[in-house]
Amino acid sequence: MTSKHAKEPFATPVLFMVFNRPETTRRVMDAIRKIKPAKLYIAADGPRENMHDDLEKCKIVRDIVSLVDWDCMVTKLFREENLGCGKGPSSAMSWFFEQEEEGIILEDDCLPSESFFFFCADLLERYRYDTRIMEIGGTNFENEKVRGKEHSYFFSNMIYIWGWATWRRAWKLYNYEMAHYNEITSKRYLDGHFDFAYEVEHFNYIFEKMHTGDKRTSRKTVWDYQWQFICKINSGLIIVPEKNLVTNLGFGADATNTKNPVGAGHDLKLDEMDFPLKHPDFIMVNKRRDHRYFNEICSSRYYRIKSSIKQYVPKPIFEPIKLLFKNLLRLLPGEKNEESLSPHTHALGNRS
Amino acid sequence: MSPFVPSTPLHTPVLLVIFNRPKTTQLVFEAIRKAKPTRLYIAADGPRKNVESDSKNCAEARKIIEQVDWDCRVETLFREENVNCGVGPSSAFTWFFEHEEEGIILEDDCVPSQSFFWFCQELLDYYRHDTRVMHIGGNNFLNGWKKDNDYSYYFSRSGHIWGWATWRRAWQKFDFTIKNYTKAKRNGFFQYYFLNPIEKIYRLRKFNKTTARENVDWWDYQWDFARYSNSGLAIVPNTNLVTNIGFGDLATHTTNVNSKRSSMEANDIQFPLDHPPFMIRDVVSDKRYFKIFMNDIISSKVKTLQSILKFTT
Repeated sequence: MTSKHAKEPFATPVLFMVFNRPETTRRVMDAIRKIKPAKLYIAADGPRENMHDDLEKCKIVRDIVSLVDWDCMVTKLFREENLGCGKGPSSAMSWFFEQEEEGIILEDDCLPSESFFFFCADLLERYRYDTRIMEIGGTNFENEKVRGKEHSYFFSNMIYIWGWATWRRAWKLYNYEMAHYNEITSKRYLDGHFDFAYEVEHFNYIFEKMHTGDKRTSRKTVWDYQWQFICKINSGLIIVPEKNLVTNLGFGADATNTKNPVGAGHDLKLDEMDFPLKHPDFIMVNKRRDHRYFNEICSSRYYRIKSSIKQYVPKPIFEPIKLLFKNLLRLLPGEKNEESLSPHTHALGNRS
Repeated sequence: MSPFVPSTPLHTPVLLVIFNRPKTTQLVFEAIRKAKPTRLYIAADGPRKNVESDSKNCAEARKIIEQVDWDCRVETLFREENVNCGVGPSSAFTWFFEHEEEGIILEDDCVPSQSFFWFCQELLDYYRHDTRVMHIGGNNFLNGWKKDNDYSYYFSRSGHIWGWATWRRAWQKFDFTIKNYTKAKRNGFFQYYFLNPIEKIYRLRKFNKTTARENVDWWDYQWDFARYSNSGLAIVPNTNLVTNIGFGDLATHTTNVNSKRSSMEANDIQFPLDHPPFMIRDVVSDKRYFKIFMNDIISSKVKTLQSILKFTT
């Protein structure tokens, strides 16, 4: 490995966001320990009042992350009360970027490979003043066969947030409450930005829900759709590595947003990036790859077909047909379970 | 609307690209003289060998330099040889941005309103370090239609070049031979990229022509490619600030007097400018412009055909 940042101490600040999962937290902490960052920010959300074992689990987690046994400036934000998966991470990141100009962000279930840190450090430096780039992602969900071989990364309009990095200049634009949403939609600024009817429906739905809030996808448990919105309305690009540098350990019953143990991305292989990085010749989004990502990760085929039909069929006719199909599908043996048929799957796995 | 009164002097450098049209050059120059920029760059292409009147007309056009009667540093790039309408302007821009970090560019047939200069000056300053913006145009061809009345301009993929401004950081991305084009196309970067199949055919044909030909006598398609391949946005003012008086016999590209865009009046924009709080491409306005643009091409071709038919019968 010959990243120019592969020397000690690792100077890029790291934010580690934890909660109540000792097992995954320990594994991610071990990965951080290998790198020995000179600056570590730890943000822990508080235990939930109605969950009796949260108190103990949160305490174990805090003990794990407090064990910093290398030369490191540790800054902690241990909350007493629970802010949830929406406000918790977003306020932690705002706290982080109040103190740092740029940095790497990890959650307690995102296991990074070693080179993830150097990949971020190199690109944080390279694009520090380039306002076109708003995020450096760590995950690549693509099948290895279809990935690019020529360069180390590509540009996307879709956010990737299992281990990522950004700058204060970009996070400054973030708004949890979706300010500008009314203006953007009433003035039709999103018109023409999505190529398929089902993408339009998907994004309209999630952006609207993030703005108004509802039971299933309320803002309480999500901060990343707002970030997707911010990147969109500010023409910000996202860097995606051609190798997968982060896997998610958090699938399963414990998770808030990725409950389905075989949800999209649960079996991603962890890779190492080759250095020095090979930078693309030009900065352009390959929409073909974005569409593939949307189809494979963000939506089911059922949803896409349904949504494509919906635009041509009047609602009173469409609804009964939809019901009929739903029941028919349920009868089929070995078909996907109910959950994966939900029309709006979270970009980071299946939302229930 | 109150008449435009500049609140600050024009400290932004101006490049005037001239050739063989003393009359139109004079009109553009008068607008510049009124604005009194502190630095003026004049680039002139040389006379064509096969056109007799060129040497006289070129010499006459170059004489406008004698009329600089305000406090102004003048730099010139007067060519002896003719290098055509592609290399000529683009090498002049490169020369300009070797000397300056940013600036306003006018060709000899683009007569701007006074507020055009200050519109450019303010936005050059406002987006100086914002790499998302690569181009500030002076034209709006939407015939008064506005999608959003709250802001003074919108972000577009159309970089109009009859009076415009940019930065050195953006012009550095310009490549006359667009060597990345073949690769970008092969790797699918132009799939789902354009507004509709017609635009795709239209634009890619221009790029294909640019890579296939030897003596390319345009530079604007290459500049389009530079913006596309760098995810750069162009600014379009909410009102038209520059009028093109160059349509007609002497022109190289805009020979069709029937083009609607030839009669677009130059207006003043209201100050202070209202900047949008977000930066997203206005696809609705872009679509509308493309429709106007296509209709314009078709209707002017039809009119030309009609006049030919009339002439022959």
